[in-house]
Amino acid sequence: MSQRCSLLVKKFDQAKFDLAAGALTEAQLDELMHAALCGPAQVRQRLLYIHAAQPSVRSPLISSASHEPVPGSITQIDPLVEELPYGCVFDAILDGWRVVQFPDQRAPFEDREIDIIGYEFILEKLEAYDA
Amino acid sequence: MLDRQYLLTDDQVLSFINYGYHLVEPDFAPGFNEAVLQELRQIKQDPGNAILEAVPQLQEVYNHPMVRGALISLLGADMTMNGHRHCHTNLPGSQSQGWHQDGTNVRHHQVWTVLAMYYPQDVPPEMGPTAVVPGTHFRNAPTDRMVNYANLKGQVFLTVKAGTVAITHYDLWHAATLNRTEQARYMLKFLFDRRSAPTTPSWNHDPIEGPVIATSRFSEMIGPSGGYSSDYYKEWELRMELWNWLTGSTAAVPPGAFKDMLS
Repeated sequence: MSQRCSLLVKKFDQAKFDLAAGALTEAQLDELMHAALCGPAQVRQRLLYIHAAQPSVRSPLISSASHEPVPGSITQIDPLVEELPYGCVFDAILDGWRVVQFPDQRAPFEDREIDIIGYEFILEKLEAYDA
Repeated sequence: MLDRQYLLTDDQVLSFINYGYHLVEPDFAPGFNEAVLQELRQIKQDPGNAILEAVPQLQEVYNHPMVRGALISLLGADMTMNGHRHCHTNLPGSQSQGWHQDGTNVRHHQVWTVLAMYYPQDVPPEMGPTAVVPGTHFRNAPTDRMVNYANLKGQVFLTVKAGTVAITHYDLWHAATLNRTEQARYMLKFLFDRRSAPTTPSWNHDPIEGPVIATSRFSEMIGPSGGYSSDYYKEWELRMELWNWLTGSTAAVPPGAFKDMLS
């Protein structure tokens, strides 16, 4: 099923649920009609920058930064976030993320000094958003 | 002359070597932090380096024997206050900074400068605490290459009580974080410099027990990697190198020295 169809089915299911609960609104019906008649929602790229301790997709995660494709979204260090979203890159793949950049193992190597932490993977998910 | 009771122990110095920071909680007189906070709130224009003239009580923070004891332990008895200082005001609704090291990328594995950050108010997680990454003072990372990190495993948020002075190695990765409250969070960043290379330990060093504690602590797993990676063994040697230097030893740490620390 295309992403557009998938989004429409979700909206339709929600409308049926709300109808059964007596909570369906005219605005919802307008939105459903708009989604059905006015073409696909916009497909946008969600980005997830992950740093793993080593270049393997099974290596433990040490950092995560998500970039949501919605106006005003920000990516920052948050003291209220206690856990990283995945244990390793492989877990993110199982959750539907697709790796679009793997770390370069040919990076300069110094056996005495240390610099940045971990190995960077960039992942994406393409998802439909209301235009 | 500072009473030696205020100097750090071997264990505390080794903790600083491994983690890159040390927290001091001075016993200021009741009402002192509140008075400083009131003064800071009256400031209309950022005075920059003149913050000490604008709020003279701040000198009491850095004259406190617990603070001086920690600074002398890490920088030597002739350490001095640097001319650069700043009042960092983290306003409500702020966003976090990115991770960074101060200064340029000329680094070393010694202690020539520390930041001494004084917080005159309690800093809960919602108020934009300073974030640090333990162990990163041994790294040489251009800020541009750090922009894709956000939350890092092993990061520590300095959620401190009023009056705390956080002494950090100059090269420790740090960042201010978002302030969700309706109050400004104040942090006074003062710098202190070492004036001469160490020739002898400037803390309460025990020449018998100190090396034993050092050997047991060099292999601690801390920071984001926190385990068996290439960097982990390098950190052992870098810690040993810094310990040697602080004790005044001129002994070099040869490549592969970590093997001698394996139990």
